[in-house]
Amino acid sequence: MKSAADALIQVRGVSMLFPGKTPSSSISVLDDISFDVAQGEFVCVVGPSGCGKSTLLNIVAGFLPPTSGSVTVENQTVTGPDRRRIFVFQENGVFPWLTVRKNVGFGLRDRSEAEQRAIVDRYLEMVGLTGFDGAYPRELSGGMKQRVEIARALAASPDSIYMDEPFGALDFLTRLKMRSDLIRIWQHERKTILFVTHDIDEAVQLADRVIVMSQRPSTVRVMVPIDLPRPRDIDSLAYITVRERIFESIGVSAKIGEAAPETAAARRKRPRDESRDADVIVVGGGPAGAIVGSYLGAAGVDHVILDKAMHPRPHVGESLICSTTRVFDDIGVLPAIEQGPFVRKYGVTWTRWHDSTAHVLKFRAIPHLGVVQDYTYHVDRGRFDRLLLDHARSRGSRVLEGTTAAGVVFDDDGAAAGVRVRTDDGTERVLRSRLVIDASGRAGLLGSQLKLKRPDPMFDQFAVHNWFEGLDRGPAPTADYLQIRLLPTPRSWVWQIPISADVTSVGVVTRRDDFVEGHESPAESFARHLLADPELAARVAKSRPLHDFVREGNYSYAMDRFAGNGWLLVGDAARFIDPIFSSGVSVAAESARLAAAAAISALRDGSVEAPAFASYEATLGRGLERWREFVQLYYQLPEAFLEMLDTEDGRSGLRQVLQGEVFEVPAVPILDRMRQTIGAAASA
Amino acid sequence: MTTVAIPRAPRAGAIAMAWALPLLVAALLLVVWHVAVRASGTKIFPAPLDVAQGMIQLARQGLLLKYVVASLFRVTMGFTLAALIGIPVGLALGWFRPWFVAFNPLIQVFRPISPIAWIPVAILWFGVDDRAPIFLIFLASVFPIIVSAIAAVQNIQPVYMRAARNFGLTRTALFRHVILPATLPQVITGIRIALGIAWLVVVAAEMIAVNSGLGYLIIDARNAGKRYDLVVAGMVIIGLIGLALDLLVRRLEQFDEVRWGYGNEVSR
Repeated sequence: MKSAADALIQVRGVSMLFPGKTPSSSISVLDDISFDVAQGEFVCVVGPSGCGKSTLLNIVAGFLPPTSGSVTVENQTVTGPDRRRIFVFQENGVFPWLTVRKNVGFGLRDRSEAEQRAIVDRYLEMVGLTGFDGAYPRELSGGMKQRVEIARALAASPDSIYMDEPFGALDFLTRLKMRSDLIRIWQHERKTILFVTHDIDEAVQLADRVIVMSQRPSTVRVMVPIDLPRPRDIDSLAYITVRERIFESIGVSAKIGEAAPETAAARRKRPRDESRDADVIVVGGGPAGAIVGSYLGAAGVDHVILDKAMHPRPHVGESLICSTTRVFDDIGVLPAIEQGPFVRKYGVTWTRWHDSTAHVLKFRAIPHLGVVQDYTYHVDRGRFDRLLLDHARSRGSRVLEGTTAAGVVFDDDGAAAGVRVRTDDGTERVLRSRLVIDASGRAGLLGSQLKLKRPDPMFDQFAVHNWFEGLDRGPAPTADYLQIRLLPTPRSWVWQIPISADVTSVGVVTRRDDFVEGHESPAESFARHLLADPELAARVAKSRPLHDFVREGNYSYAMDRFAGNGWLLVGDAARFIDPIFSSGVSVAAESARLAAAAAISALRDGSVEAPAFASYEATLGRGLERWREFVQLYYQLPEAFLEMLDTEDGRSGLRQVLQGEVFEVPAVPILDRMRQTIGAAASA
Repeated sequence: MTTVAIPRAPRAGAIAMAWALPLLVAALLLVVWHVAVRASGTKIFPAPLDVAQGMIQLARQGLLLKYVVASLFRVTMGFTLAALIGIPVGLALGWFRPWFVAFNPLIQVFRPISPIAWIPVAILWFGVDDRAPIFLIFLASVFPIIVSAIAAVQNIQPVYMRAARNFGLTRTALFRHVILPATLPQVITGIRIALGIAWLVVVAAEMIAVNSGLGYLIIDARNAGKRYDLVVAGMVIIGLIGLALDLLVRRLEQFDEVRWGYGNEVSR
């Protein structure tokens, strides 16, 4: 609320009693109404039919004297209507005997002819009626007549405009158009507008502040500031939240036949801090975001997921590792994945370009984590991400699709306080929250904003990949394993990932400079690298690529920090590591699990400042560092890695890492051994 | 609903129809009239051709034009007087509530008194010159004008008055720019009704008090030689002129400034 000093219009204790035939039959319409309207403010008064809101507006405008109380404008008591405050009438007050031009110029009779013409032309253009100046109102539609009246009001150059359900008689589409035009005009002219309507949507779409009135005798039930940028997206969460709040305040449920699960609905009804859109905003609806959302939803934390992609993601195949099974089981999505169209992944094979010997790692169950499956999955990321996000929704996540996070908003103390979002139609607004979890993936929203991003030059990779139909995946036992084939160029390798019974993803990964120097098309590049592996090249040649080759950078990087005051980073937004060991979704899942736990306990304890996330940061950092070191050691001497795979002892050590158990374990012995082995080999 | 004034482009066929149908009916009436007269064998009541011959005779004698002009003159005088007095009085009574309260009962008492009843009074006051029928015509037409003007003011949409107050109009400007245009359609309707009554009354007034005019023609033709062909000729001329006057006043209703008041819009 604005302070009284700013107030242009002050309504003080206004009551209105319409006398009846006897004192007892008098009707009390307004009861002690007080509010202010600031200069340039757009205030809507809403209330049930017959609540006296039009009476109130007529009193404010000076058409009716109140029974008691007063209205002052610029500290002068209002005793009658005034041409500085023009009323726009519900029943249309355009004079039917005058042309449009003469109507609009009605308040300008003391101006010169030329001035009148110029002013009228200007406002006719503003309301979109240029060319109709010679028409009579009877020749116009209802909406056009209201435009004439609005132009007439504006042309008189008033300080304020009072509008009494001006669009009430118009059809739905015309009403919508009139609202957006009114806002455009208001933003241009910045008149003070007091607008009466029975339509809460209209009020929320238009106003800076909504005054909600009660049933007769009316009092001011609540005043709701609407701090949403214009033009307003009526599908946005913030809009819906404000709207619901107003509906609730007049005791009407805005939800009719709501289809969301009961738990989610019940959760949404839980009272929350009025100044926030959600307790937690999760930026990004990929696996990390969806998993965080699922955990938060299960814990009853009010949160929203901002998901940029409205449409299926491009075809990317990805192989998972076993530790993710625990997380999927935790959030209850495992049955859906099991039933989904995903190929089971029982292990990984490594093959070198110069021989056909496969070095095999078969997965095992991880009983101490409760993972009883000895397999994981190859997934089509488009479907997989969708499945996870739908699951999050079923757990109570409010997912805003088609919303791009433009930046995290920080309060004066440097704590994250919300996210500035932009919808597809270009509208921007700020969603407020206690905590922001950045799951924005490689876009790294907070990392870029806070300049936390540190590239890792060790892993400056590029990939070229495609899906192939009818590809021979090799001999049966390992056909559906993830197959890694090492190429002669250092750090170059090929993946082969089954996507479905018939479709296989094949991708070449190599150093970036290897691509840049060649000036080749992605397809040429792919073919050239595959020449080094004739066996695979022959299999690929017999299959059919399903679409154009895709080339993408896999630049590894890490963020300096993974948490701060009011924010957490999860998944790729925290760190991206060369994908050779299929760590991507595992990092997303594990970091999401850890972040959700940290967030839930921080919210419960009431502090979302950095110290609350110290342990998250440490655990995640340690696990990611283990992954990074593992990858780095591997690339230093792949031969050593393959040798280890050939011993049972080595396999069991590697399995710990390759199944993803790096975050919450005290030690990873194989890393020590690799350091020694590779160190020894390097010194030899 | 939206209001869409549809300009009705008159098709040629529709125009022909608008003329042909009434003419056909009129022709039929003439035939029936003719046949009925012949069949009854009456020597007194004229057939249509007799009437036409009577008109031609009157025209040749110069009486037709003279009587028409005389009647029109009286109607014009009486009616104009009624309008000049009735419109301002009506607007004033409609606007100032106390005046309305004071005068309305009186108006309602005078209004139902037939102008015929005033004939003796008129003769007493004005003798048998032109002033008597003009007075009667005035009396007959002034009340419809006053009453419709009162109603016009009282029925002004409050929203127009409030808009006018909002724009801070002076009293003169309010009258000139709002009250007058807002009441005009209904005032015109009052005028049209009053003119019809005035023409109605002129015949009765001329039958008694004067020695010219269409009313005098009728009574004189009857008295002077049972010239029923001339009686009916006078009646027909009165009817035709009445039609012409009505068409004339109706044209006032076609002006853009007042058309809004006649509900000739498709919907609202």
